Order: sequence, then C-alpha cells, then structure tokens
Amino acid sequence: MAGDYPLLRYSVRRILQAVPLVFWVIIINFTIIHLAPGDPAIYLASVTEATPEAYAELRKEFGLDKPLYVQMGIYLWKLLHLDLGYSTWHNSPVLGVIIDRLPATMLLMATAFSIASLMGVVLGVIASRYSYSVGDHLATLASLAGYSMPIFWLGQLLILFFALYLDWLPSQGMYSMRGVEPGWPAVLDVLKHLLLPAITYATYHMTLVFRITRGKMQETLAQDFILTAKSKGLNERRVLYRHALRNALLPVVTVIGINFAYVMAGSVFTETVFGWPGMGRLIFESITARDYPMILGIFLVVSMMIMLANLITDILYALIDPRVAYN
Amino acid sequence: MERRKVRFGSAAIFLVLAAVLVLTHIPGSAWAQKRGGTLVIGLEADPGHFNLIVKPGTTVQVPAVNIYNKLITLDFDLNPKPELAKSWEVKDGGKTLVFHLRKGVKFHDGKEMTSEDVKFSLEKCLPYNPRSRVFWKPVAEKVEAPDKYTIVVRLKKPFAPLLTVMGVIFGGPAIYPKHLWKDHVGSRKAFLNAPYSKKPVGTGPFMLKEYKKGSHVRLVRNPNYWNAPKPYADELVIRFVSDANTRLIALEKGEIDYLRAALIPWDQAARLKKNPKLVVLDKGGEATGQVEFMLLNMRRPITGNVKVRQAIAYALDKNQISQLATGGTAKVADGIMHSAMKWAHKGSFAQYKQDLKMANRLLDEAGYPMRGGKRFSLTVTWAKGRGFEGLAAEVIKQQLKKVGIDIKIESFDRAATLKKVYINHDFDIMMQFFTTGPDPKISVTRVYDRNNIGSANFNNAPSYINVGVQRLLDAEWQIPDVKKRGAAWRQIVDMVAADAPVIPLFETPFVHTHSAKWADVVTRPYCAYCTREDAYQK
Amino acid sequence: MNANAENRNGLLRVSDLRTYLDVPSGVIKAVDGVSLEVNRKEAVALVGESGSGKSMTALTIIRLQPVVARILSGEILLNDVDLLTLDTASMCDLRGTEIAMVFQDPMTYLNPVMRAGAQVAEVVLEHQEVSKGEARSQVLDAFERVGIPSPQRVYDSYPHQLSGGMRQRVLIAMAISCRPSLLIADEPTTALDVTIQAQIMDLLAHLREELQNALFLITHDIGLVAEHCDRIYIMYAGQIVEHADTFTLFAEPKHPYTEGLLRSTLSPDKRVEVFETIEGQVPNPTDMPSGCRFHPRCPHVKDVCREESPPSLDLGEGRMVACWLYE
Repeated sequence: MAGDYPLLRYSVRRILQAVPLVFWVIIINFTIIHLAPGDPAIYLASVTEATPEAYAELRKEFGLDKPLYVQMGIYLWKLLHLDLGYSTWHNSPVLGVIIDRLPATMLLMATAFSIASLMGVVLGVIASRYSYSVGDHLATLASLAGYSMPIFWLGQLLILFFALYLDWLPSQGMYSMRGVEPGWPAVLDVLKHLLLPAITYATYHMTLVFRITRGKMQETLAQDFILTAKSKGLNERRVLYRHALRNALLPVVTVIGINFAYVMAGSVFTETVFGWPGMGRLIFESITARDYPMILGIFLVVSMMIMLANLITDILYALIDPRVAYN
Repeated sequence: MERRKVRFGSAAIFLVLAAVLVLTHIPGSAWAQKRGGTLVIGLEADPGHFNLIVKPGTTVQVPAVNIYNKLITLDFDLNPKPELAKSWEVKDGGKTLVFHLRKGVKFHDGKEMTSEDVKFSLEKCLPYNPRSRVFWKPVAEKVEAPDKYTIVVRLKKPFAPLLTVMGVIFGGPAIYPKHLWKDHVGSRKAFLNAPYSKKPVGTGPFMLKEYKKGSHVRLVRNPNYWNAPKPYADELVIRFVSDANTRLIALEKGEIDYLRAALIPWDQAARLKKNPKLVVLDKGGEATGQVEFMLLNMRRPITGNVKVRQAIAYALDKNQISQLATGGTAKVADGIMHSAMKWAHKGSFAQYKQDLKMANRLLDEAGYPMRGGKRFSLTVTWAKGRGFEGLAAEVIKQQLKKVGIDIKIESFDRAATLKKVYINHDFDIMMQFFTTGPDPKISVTRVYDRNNIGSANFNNAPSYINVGVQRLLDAEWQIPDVKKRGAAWRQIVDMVAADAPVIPLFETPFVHTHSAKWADVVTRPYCAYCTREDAYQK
Repeated sequence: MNANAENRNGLLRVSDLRTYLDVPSGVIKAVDGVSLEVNRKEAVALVGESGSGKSMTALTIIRLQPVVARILSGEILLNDVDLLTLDTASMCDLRGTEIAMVFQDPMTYLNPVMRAGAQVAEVVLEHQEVSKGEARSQVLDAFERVGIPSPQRVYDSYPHQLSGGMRQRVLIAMAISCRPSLLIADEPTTALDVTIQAQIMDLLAHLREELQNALFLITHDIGLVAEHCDRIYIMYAGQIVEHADTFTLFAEPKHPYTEGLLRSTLSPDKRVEVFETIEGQVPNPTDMPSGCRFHPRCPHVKDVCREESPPSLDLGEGRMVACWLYE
C-alpha cells in the first residue's frame, strides 16, 4: 500500500549513503593500523636471526618498504578486485582465511544474538509489568551484574562450574577430539560445545536489551495511547505486547544495532576464552602476530558487517515506526 | 624408564626385563606398549600452515616435528642419537661429516627417501630457514651424495656444535621429498606457495588427515613408518587454544592430554602435582637450559671492582632467592650453563657459599668501608613481565643490606629495559634469564665474548674481557672431541666464576604436564619440539 | 441528594467515591467523597478546573486509575452492577462495549505505530465474533458515522498523517464502534481549534441522538456544556460542590465557586486560561485547607467556613449545593 514505497525509497537512500562511508572506513583502518607501533618484519623473522638484512628482505617481500600512501594505493586497487591481501601468518589469501572462520562465528553469534534479544525483550516486558516488585528489583540487580561483568571472567566462571566442577559440558573448542560419530552425534557435539560460549556471549547483550526494554516499556506504559488501548477493553497481554512493546522496541532495536560493534568485540573475548575457531579469535591471533593484511581484512569485513547491521537497524526502525520513512 | 609400570606376574621376569630395559635404554621399547588412542596436544595458536622451511616458529614446529624427520636427534643428556641417519662419522679433524642413511624409509606418498632428498633439503631448503641457516651458513661448504644412502657434509672449518644443533628441529633441517618440492624452490615465496605448505609430506610417524582452521590439526599414524611399531597412538590431534586458563582447564578435564612448559605457569605446578589424573614432568627442558643470572656492569666503578662482585656473590643466599622467587620449584644454579649439559657444565660458582664475613672483608679491601651501616648504593634493573625476577630483586635487596650495600630496584617494560642495558649499557645490575642450550657455543659464548660487546640485544652486557677466556672461546668450537671440548668449557667456567661478571641464581623451572593415561609423551630434551611417536596409552 | 436507586432510567450511579493518590510528597485526595448519577440517554457534565479531580473520577469509573491510586470507599454501579467488585476480565469485557471513553488529546491518545483503522478494528475484533473483513466494514461505517470524509484512506493512514480533528474523530469512532450505553468524554475538545471544537461537540450530540447513548462530559469549560448537557455537576478540589440542571445552574448559581466560574465564562475574553475572576489559587492537593476547601478564595467566607466542611444541602428538585451560606 501507500506505505511500502517510502520504505523502499528510504532503504535505497540509506544504502547509497553507506558507500562513501565504506571508502572512509578503509582509509582510516589502513592508517590506524600502520601507525601502530611494532614492525611486522620482527614477528615474521625468527628470534635467532634478527639481522637487519633479514628484516629488509621480509619488508620488501611484503611491500612494507614502500611509502605508506603507495601501500594504500596498492591496497585499494586490490580491494577493487576483491583481493583483501595475503596473510603473512596463514600464508593464504586473507579472504579465504576469513571465509574459513566465518561460519563458526556466525553460528555462535546468531545463537547468542537470538537468545539475548529474545530473552532480553521478554524479561524486560515482564519486569516492566511488575515494576518495582521484588522480582523486578532482583532482575535489575542481576542485569546490572551481568552488564558489568567482564566477558572473559564470566566465561571462565562458567567453564569452572559447568565444565570442570559439574563436568556436564566441554570447556572449550567446537568439536570433541575423540570418539564422535559423524551425523547427528557430531551435530549434538557441536551444540554441546556451543552452549557455554553462547551463554557467555549472550549475557552482556541480554542484560543490555533487558535494561533498555524495561526502561522503555515503563515509559511507554505511562503514555496516553496505552490508556486508550486499555479503555478499548483489551486484556493486559495485548496492551503490553501489541501496543506498548511495539513502541518500546524502537530504542531497543537501535541499541541492538548500535551495539553490534560491541557484539563483535565481545566475540574476540568469548572466542579466545572458549577456543572457538571463529573470527573473534582470528582477530586476537592476527593482532598478536602483527599480521597486517589479515588485520586489515578482518577490520574491513567487520566494518562492513557493522554498517550492514546499522543499515538493517535503520530499515527495521522504519518498518516499526512509519514516521521514519515518511519524513 | 624406571617409573613405568610393568604388569607381569613373575618377579623374575620383571627383574630380567627391567634389566634389559635399563641396559638398552631406548625410550619406548616395542613390547611394553600397545597401539591405540588419540593423543591431544594443546597449542596456543593456529600455525596457518606447516611449512617448516620458511617459518620455523613453535606453532609450526609442534605439528611438523611429527610429520617430518631429521637426520639425528638428541637424548636427555643432549647426545646425538640416530634418526634418519643410522650412524655417522666425523672426519678430517671435524671438517667432514659422513652420514649413513637408513634404507627403506618411505615418504608418506610411498616414495623412498634417499641421499638425494637429504642433499636437496640441506642445499635448497635450509638456506631459507631463518633459524637453521644461522648455524650452517658460516661453516658449510658443500654437500655430496656419493651413493643412495650416504651423505657427506664438508665444512669450511670444524664446527663442533653442529651435531647437537642438527638434533633440534629449529637448528637441523627436516628432510623434505625432493620429487615434490623441486619445482618450488628458489625463494621464500615459492616455498610458501607450494601446495605442500598446507599438505605436508614427510617421513615422520604421523600424516596429516584433517586441518580445521582455528580449531585443530588431526594427524594419523603413518602405517609405513620406518620405526615400527611406532607410533603407538592412532591419532595425534593438535588443538589450538589461545587462552591460558582455558588451556589448563581443558588439560585438567582431559580434553587436552599434554601442555608444554611455556604454556603452564610455574605457580600451577604444586596444584597440578596433586591431581592424580595428571603427570607433571621435570625433564624436557634440557635443550633450552634456561638459567636466571645477575649481570654486573663492569663499566661502572663499583661493579667494575672484582672484589665487589665476589663480595656480592658471597653475600647472597641463593637457596633463599630460589625459594622465595619461584616458590621452591627452581634448582639453584652454580655454573654459566644449565647442568643438563653434562659434558661441559661445571659448578664453579658453588665456591660462593653464603659467607657474610668474607663478603664484608672483600668490600673493606675494595675500599668501601661501612659507614653508618652502609657502604654504597647500586641499582638492580629488571624488565616487567617476568614477576619472578622482580621477586628475586627484592630478596637480593634484603640480603645485600646485611653487608652494607643499599639496593634500589627499577623496572621498565621489556623493550625499554633491553635498550637501557644492552644498547646504552646504563645499569649496575641486571636480572636476566638466558637460554644456555642446546650448545654453549650458541647460547653461552655471546655473554663472555669480547667481540660481542656492542649494541645488540643479549650481547656481552657486563662488558667482560678476559684474555684467557677469550682464547678458549675462540678455540673450543673447533675441537671435534667432545671430552676435550668439555674440558675447555670447564676451564672457561672456572675463570668466569673467579671474575664473577655474572652471578647465576637458579635454573628456571620447567613445568609441563600430561594426562596420566599416557606415557612417554616427552622423550626428547625439548618438550615443544619432541616427536610424539613414543607416546602410548596406558 | 436525589437517591432514587429504583430509578429505571438509572445507568451509572457513583456514591461516596474516594480515590486517593500516594505520591512522594504525601497523599492527594483527588476524589474525595464524590456521588453522581447518569441516566440512560442523558448528557451530564462534570465541570471543574484542572486538578479538581474530574478526570480522576472518570478514570476511576472505568477503573483505569493510575497504579498509585487507592480507592478508599464508594460504589460505582453500572446497570446496578458494582464495577469495583468486578474481576479484571469482566471489566475488560465492559470497556468498549458498555462504557467507552474519549480522551482529550488526539495527538497522544492514538498509537503512533498502528494504522488508524487497525486501532479501531481492534475494538470490534476484541468484543465481537467477526471476521477481519467484517470488522473492517464496521470500522468504515463508524468512520462515516463520525463524519470522516474518506474512510478508506483514513483507515490505512498512520496517526501522524491525520489532522487533529480527524484523529479525534477516529478516537470517537473507536469509542462508539461497539455502541456503548455510556460514553465518557474527557475534555474532548481542549486540544483542538475553536472551529473544530464546535464540530466535535455537535458530532457528540448528533451521535447521542443516533445511538441513544448517555454522555458523561468532563470539561473545564462551562460554556461548552450549556447547549449540550441536561445536568451539570460542579467539582472543586476533589468534591462536588454544586449540582443542578443546566438551565437552573446558569440562571441561579448557588455556590460562590459556580458563580465565579460563570462570571469568567460569560466575560468576553473567553479564552483566558485561569479563572481570573476568582481570586487566589487552586489549593495544594496534598495540603487541603481546613473547613470548606474553597474558603481561601471565597468572597463570602465566614468563620465556620474555615473550621468545618460544609454539608451537602439538598435544595429540592435535584439541586444540591455544599456551602455554609445556605445552611
């Protein structure tokens, strides 16, 4: 109907706006990384042969001897051909290494993100319904704890309790190394490995969504149109979910979208603590190894993902709130 | 060997077999072990590939050492032992090395390994190995393959440490199949881009089966391994776990069977030893031979005085230092190299038993009389990052106070400290931990060689010059006979101990652990780079 | 008081209603002993300044008083059923069908993220067993009834696309869609233009003729009720101070407050906000004056006014006044 066209127009406009942003992100990423102290040649060469000649040889091989702007030019030209460079550590095209690691991260992130968003919203709605009750206070306190707890610490706590003490779940990795049959047992095995990192990963995010949902629901429930909805004779559940939540969701969606960057950062900690073979750990390993092309490639992919997430957020926002697309 | 449980009813048989075991002294004799099981080793990062030629870092070596073989290996006393070379001779006063290869050794692809492959590996691959070539380049002249199973290495001059170096994988070349690699030589890049970077083919006990990026490498038994019935494990998995705590938990939980020393903090040793499911090893660090030293700057007037240096050595209680700094896990050091290097080691520093009277007398003689309980001040420098060095510095401060030496302690980040000490020579006393293995020529000489006073890290920081020592250092590495070479080194230790440009404190602890379900996980003097062909399930 | 419980025309009968609000600064006696009646098909007005408790009275009747409100005493009989004794579900069934409410600000009383038609259809779907298509046609009927010129377009519009008057019509359509017997209109015209105000009042009158519902109009504008209401209750500081039929009240106001109200209304400058002709301020709700609550502002104040609250005096013919002047 009438509303669909503005939405489409809005989406296209948003996508076009993102294009120059991508360019700037690439330039900024490149500059920041190359300004960081530490010479990759030192990491490439072994400790035993730290001779200036060996460094020079390596710098030449990886083009590190050229001026920065030339390096950037070469990089941009290659990007146009979908060539993200060649990883010095993995000795493979960067894109290939990232694609190898992406599915594991996607699995973890999708699981955690769904758990976090769903639980956060549902708990937030319930807490707003029972505002200032004992349960609400407890939930708020718990969410504050979850929000301020460092991910790696929570992860280790969960590992200690569920993996070591209770011995219910594996402590790390994505696969068992011994005696797993292919097929369903293998799928189950991955799920067992997925549980703890997903919970760890979801906690911070869930508490965030919870707190915002609760707050916004409280605000929304005090608004006039809620009174209208109630005066229509709608039962409480309808009023909460159909009228209040839809309005309260706007800031929640925004926060989820904006926090996508933090979610990516969270994956670094979670995957490192749990030995999860995804992008987060790839970031950690690549930074440790000063693998410039790899770091650049990951940053680019992550930036794109964040921009995509923001784009989706904007469109979702417009979908939820008709006023956005029309104005 | 002695610790292994042998379940036999008859005591007589047990005794006989035990005697045989002790006599033969070969790790992992064939009859006591059964095949089977998956051995899982923890590693801190994904190696990315298995190209040992151009990237001989630890992460590549841990898997690669099980895929490739070297010509020789080392036992726990750092003596060379046969691997692909079943025997060897040293000729021409050390200028020629003749290796006799095993016959019938096959690469994973079924082709036989011959002297051609060895020649290829030494000539074409080794120059691209940034670690090995340091040892080889200055001395190697040419490599000959007179017949299919003989390899002759000719040197420009004798180089006694060469055999030891060849026994460790970062020093000695792994043997690569010429027929696969011959079209990929000539540059670092060519080696890297070869398909065999990621699909390695060697003669080793295990073959690559699966490489899950970021997760693990799975190797399976090489059914045609020349050292049958080894390997005993059906599979060897190397798992990548970056977080130190998670790694330890995985070990305790049995998801990982072995963690090498660098991956286990010392302070965990006592706790892990109590766990009946784990075996804490003390062997396996011999080839690295790490020792903690105090370096005394001889350019400074106070520490430049030999009597002061000796007095400091007399004033210290090394037992207490080791006890307080490492929780008693470290053994007191009494030489300039690790005691595992038995052929060269001498405990000459043992003469400096704590003797405060002697220390005070020496300081008086040096011209620093005690005034109001104090003679002079010195600064001890240590690099942040190794907490035990800071602890040691504190203990040293307390101990030296008793003889009137006032110690100030300073600490900077590692790079800044190294620059201050090794480049600018701006220090009195430095806490420094040195690798002293696998051969003193490689890792000990650098500290006492007058030609190494300059501006590079880990040089002769004390600026020590002793003409007698120098003469021996210049000559010892060309002595092919290990006994004579050992005697030269013992003389060096004596002379250094008298001058005390350094004071050894303790041999840094070596804590590594494997699951009690396994045995013989570490059978070489270098825990990280040890083949796992001997490991078997109990 | 005109306490005819057997009155067959009786629709709503509120007696001695007390709704107190617990706020941090104390207790607000928002509704303090209010009694009133609305008969079938009758139009009754409740007039008072803002803060007099008239809206709280209306909200208590439909039982949508805020969470902080406590109902201390009283009866709200609708068709002889005490609404205060009903459970939530039964109350929900009555809202929209028996009692409906139109609120004052059409800008905020519509859900901004739902299409106008859907918001109205919701009432129909909630209370009647009809299909969605049927609900839609009922809504379009209601839209026509309330004088919306292009019902189809308005049905698919979002509130922000509609004018204020149109939105108020949508709200009215929502209220009458299930033909309630009592329509409570709480300041239905306050937020609108003067021209539209008249249109909306005419619409309400017209609808009452057509649908035969009773209208309970809550307003501060006594001028507005003159031509549309049968009877008037005057409320001050939580209490009813005077009650009479419209003609009598205008012709012969008894209470000094009513007099003041009428004076201000009849003065030419009608749109002046505060009742300037009445001196003084509306009393602090948490700290009511002793005696008659109007005495600080009353031109005829006597000693007794300061000490005792005046009784509700029945002056016959349904007239009531609470003032010491008539004792």
